[in-house]
Amino acid sequence: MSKVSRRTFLKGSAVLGALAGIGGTASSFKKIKPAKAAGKKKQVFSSCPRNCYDTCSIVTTVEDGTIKFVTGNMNNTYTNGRLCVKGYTYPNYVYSPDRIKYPMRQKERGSGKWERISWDEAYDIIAKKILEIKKEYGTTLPIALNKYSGNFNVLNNAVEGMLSSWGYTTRAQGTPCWPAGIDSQTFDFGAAVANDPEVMVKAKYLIVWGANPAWTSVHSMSIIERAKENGTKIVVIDPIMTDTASKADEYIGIKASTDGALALGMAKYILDHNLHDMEWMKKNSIGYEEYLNYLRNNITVEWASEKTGVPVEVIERLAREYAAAKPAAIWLGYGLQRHTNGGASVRAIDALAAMTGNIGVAGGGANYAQTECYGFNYAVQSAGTPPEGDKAGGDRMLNMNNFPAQVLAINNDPEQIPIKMLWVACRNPIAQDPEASVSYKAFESIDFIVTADLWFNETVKQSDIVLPVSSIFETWGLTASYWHYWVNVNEPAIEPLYESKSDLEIAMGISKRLNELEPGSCTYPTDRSIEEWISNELADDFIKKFGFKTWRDILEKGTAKVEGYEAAWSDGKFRTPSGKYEFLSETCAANGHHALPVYVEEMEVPKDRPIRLFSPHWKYGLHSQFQNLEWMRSIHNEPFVEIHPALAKKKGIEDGDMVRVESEVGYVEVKAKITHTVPKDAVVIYEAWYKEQNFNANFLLKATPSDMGSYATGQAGLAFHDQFVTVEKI
Amino acid sequence: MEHAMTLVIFTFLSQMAIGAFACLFFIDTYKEKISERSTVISLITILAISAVAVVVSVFHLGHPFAAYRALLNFGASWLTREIVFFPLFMFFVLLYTFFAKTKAQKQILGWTTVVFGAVTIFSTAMIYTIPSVPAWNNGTTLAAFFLTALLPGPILVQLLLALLEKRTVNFNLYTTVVAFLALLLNGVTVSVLKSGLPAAVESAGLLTASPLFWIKIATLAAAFALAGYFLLKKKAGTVSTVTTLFALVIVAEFLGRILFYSSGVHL
Amino acid sequence: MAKKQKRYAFLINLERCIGCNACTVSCKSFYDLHPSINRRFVRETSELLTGTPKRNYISTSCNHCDRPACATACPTGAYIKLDNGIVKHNQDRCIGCRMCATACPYGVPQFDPVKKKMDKCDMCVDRLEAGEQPICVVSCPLEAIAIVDLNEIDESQVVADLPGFADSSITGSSTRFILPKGTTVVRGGIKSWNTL
Repeated sequence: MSKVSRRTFLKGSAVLGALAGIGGTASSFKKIKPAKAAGKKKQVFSSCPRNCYDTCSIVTTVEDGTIKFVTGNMNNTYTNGRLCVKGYTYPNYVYSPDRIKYPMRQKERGSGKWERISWDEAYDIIAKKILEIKKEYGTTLPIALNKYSGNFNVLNNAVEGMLSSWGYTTRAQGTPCWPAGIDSQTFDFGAAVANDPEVMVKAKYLIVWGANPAWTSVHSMSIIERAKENGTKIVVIDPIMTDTASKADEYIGIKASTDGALALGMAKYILDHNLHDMEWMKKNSIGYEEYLNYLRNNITVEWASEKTGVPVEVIERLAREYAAAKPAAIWLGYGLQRHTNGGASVRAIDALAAMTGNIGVAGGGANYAQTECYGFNYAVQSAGTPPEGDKAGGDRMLNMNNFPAQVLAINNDPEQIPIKMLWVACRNPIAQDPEASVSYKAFESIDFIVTADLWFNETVKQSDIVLPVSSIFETWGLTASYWHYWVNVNEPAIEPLYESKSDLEIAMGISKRLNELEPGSCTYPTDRSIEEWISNELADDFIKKFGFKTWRDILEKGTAKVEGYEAAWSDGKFRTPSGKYEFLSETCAANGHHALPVYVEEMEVPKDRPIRLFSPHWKYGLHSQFQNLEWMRSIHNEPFVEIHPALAKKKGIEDGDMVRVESEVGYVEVKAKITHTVPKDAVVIYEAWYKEQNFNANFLLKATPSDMGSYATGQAGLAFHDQFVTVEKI
Repeated sequence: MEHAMTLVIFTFLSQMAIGAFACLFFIDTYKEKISERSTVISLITILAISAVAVVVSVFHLGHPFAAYRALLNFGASWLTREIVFFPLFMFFVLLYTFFAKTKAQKQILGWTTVVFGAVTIFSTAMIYTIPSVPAWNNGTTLAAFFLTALLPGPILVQLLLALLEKRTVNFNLYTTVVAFLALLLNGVTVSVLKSGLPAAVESAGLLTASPLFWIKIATLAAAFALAGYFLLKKKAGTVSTVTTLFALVIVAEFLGRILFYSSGVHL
Repeated sequence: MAKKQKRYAFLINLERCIGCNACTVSCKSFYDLHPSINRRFVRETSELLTGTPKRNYISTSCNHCDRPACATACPTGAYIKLDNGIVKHNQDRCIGCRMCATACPYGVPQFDPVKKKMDKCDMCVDRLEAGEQPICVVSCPLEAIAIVDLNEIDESQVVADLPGFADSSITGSSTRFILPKGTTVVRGGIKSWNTL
């Protein structure tokens, strides 16, 4: 017997009705066989909450309370009715036998000896520990939080709210992904705001600079393919001949970390040949004279060629083509700013777009990211405020990008309030933080670790308590993209599996237990339904923006678009101190950088480790998610290192040989894959978490900071791609 | 049991049984008188080996109890034909065992059985003579399968007679020649594969890189030498000689069949 | 005018295929296949397909051949070549002997370890008959897979053979490919080469 409430049934038929009107092939996600009985089958809207450009709106088909199929929501024109390979694995994700099913306690960290406990026991253990710490130290500052982007459902910000409701705590602050570029664009424009990627088709010329959308943003790749078929010339600049580069008209295999030099060289040629847009600069910018003088006095195309390895005539041709095409777009990827001069490179590229008048133009732009869709109230977060009497007076911020080392520094320093307890949510720091071996030591130095997750990953293995988290299909959610302009709602498709709970439910549960043990010890509300919470997230003006009367209107189509970003900055109202585009940024200078977008020398290649290591994203996973699933494993289940045939020959390595890749901080042993698509002086290992395999690219990575990031995100980014190794056949 | 191993066992045993029957039939009908007891025991042994082959082959199916459906594609499938002809062979062995009394009866039933046996081997060979596995897609498959009938088959009979009748039928000339041909076939196969499609070249590489291949060569060479030695000495050999020969050739042919499957590189 | 019988075939646009396997996984999901079974296969093909090195893939499923080797090998007659070109496998008849997998030049049929029978793509024939496209076609985020009618298609614009894909003439594979275009490659010299 299936219990289908009238509400669910009506809602389901409304959803089906809404979808029935969609033409085209992609609407045909319905199974041929009609449901055995009316009401047993329903379709709901879900939203992929991963840290991904594409942030898809999903249609989930449920039969008899079981998810049968997921596909893209046609109502969201960016998702276009299609998902990526990761999205299609969701049924396997939800029903994976590997999921953590119950709250569990580990006898000894890393032992794998887990015992099942009840939620009451788990709440009790955790609450008592919090109170014990508070009593001993007079503050909750010894409690640290490490949470980030494993699940960007806004309701998960309840975790931050939960910690605040205990008192002041220690936080991992910052973002590993994009901070240098965010700073650059904040200095230049006042904020990072990209053109709506759906209008990228309007570009006559498109430079994809250090991004690999074929793997990390398939829907944008589809737009690029459409543009190409419309006659847009696609140029990809990347040290690696990625799958995106493989689809381009032209691929520029630039020397890593010299992107700024190429942009400046192109700008110099454009200036010399009077191809720049003086009118735009005069009207919309400040510091352009200083910038043009810098180009005149300091830059030559020959120098740029020397730096980048790109021949002079190619730089000249690119500059001519880029300046002549109106509009011409640049997509700045996050890869190019993961260097010690990455922020400077982004500024140089921004300047190139600005000097050619490509800012504020549909089909143009220096497109990096945007956060304009995050119009949420963050009520789940602000619901928690530190109770009276916490002597700390404020949270203690640690750099997320060097968290383990900073934890160790604190715990080895008797002068400081130690970190005694760690809460990990929406994150797998041991897999994702650089210097993995330091991560293990940092975890060892902490008395009590609670991780809320779905999988027994490397971080969970080093925890004392694990709390089973429900998947997005089992709870409510709201997600926004940092690339396209859609906001998606996520309705529960099925009941939570096993004993899993959402992070928000966990926050409320802990709060309840804390207040039972010591009334007033936790300010987090415990009596709100999840639907109430979600309605609190959508402010009235945000709802009106979409023409909705109530927040529930978003359930009609599952997704809603924030309009008006076809041509970001077309109003000429920049958010900089001057209100103009700032070629010369005093703010940038005040933050310890150059005021102008000058070239900053790239990191020197160490003589004893002359091979550069790239560890970019993997197509069958997003960081440490998805590659562990059975469906993915049936396609691919073996980490590898890509090596150019010339380097392989020099090292006596053949395809399929096991090799040892060693850096200053560690080593990994992986299988060699010989390919012409990587530079001769670099190797590529894709970061991923493979189930039950002793592989982690982060054993190799050093926590070298990138130049920028602290202004806008609190902490500098990481120079993930300024990593150097030796490679030997085992 | 591993999927390929069931096929190794079926093809090896069925072909040896067919070869053994043909040999026994020729001796019994045309060469020399064998006691009825020895004939019947030998024939039952052949039937038992055939039955084991069938049982093993059925269990390589995902659905052994639906094996009858394998008879449904006689018009196109060599596998169906094999499945039709091998039981026919067995049935005629049975008839031969109990109903062939006169020379004429023996000749009619014996020849029919031999023909069904030969057609079975031909069908089995045709199953594997397919473009998707270039290493198999040539005459060496047919040659190899017939050699499995022609080499271990008669030596099995020789061994049975040696044990049952305490005398050794002199097969030394025959064994020497066939063992030589079997040795030769290895060389031919490797050179055919090496001049074939890339997948066949890969098969050749797998074959010659395998220690099993060299054990096979060594055992065949030993069988050749042993039979040749007694041929030159003009002696029939003892029970232990025949036992040794039999051990050598079944090891060689069994390993050969394992190699056949394991080195068959798909396109 | 009598309507000419359609001959359905897959058309794979290699210029669009990014080798992501969304086709493989969406099919696996839609048909609730055993996790080990893939009805689609995405493999890398020569990096030098268009001259300059780049990443190239072929996504194929059953190639619905004109002279299907599976149908010839199968002792139960479980494979039927339909008039519309689709090679359909009747799982009810299959006894799991795996001969089809050996005989198929593309190794398409796979053994389902639970059902103990073979499994392969039927081009979503039920969906096609209902006027809908196969799941891989509607799932591909790059829209690189299409169903075409071999009676209508301009064969001069497509190819049937590619490196790493068994010769289409063996069994008359119906799959067609649009070849990728070349990419101009600029790759600078590396000064420190000798010190690596």
